[in-house]
Amino acid sequence: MHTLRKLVLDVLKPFSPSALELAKRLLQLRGVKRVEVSLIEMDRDVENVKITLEGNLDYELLKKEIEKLGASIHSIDGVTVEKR
Amino acid sequence: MKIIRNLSELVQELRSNEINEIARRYFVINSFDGVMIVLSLLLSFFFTEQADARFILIACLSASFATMLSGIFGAYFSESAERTGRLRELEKSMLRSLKNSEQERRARIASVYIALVDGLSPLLLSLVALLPMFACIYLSFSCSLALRASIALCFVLIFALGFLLGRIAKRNPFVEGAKITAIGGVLAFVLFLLERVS
Repeated sequence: MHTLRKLVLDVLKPFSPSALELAKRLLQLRGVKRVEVSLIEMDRDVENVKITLEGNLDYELLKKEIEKLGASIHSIDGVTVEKR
Repeated sequence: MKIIRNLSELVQELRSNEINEIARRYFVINSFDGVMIVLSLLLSFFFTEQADARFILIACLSASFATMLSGIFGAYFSESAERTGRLRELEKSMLRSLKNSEQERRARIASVYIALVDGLSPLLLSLVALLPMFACIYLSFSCSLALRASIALCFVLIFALGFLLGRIAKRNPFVEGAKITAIGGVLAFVLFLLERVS
């Protein structure tokens, strides 16, 4: 068994919710200890952000919440897993 | 706990600048409409020396309810259409459907909130203006005095709306209030002329 400790996601999101709101919402999820959102690129209606999450992560839960916020995961750019 | 969190999120969303700004605009526009309609009816009754308080009240309340309904549904349909259009644009940029997303929920909440503000504000202000007429019926108040008091209240409310606009525009609120009250004066003058001519 393994624990997902860190995830780096490339995410496309609308301007609203803001990066701050998105980070706060992700931080409320079970197991999430730290969230970092940084802007990569801005377009007319959308922006591309890099989200770094740390804690005892559940990828499916994160994906569901990100999609609920109107954003979509482009790619998983980094993963850290640990043995239990 | 979840309900409290959802409610606090809802309040936070409704206080967001964009929604508040639109709601404030609708509030002023439709409140002004509502009070002007009631004022025009009251002035007509005053100039034609109508003395049946119940008749006056029913006529004014019907007009207020009509303004409320037109405000609620007009604002809801137009806001909803605008926001749905914007959502579809966003879907194109996101290359995905935003069904059941936060954006769709927010668009729905904003449309309902704005529609309620737009519809209820003229009704509320009209009811305030008609308080003397209620007093006339239920407290056996003089009808002629109640009619004059309601007309005066309409002018006070119109001035208050102008005052509010002045505060928003960071101009002298008293000057703005006086300007908008003058429009009520124009209405009174036109109705007076109409009564003389007919």
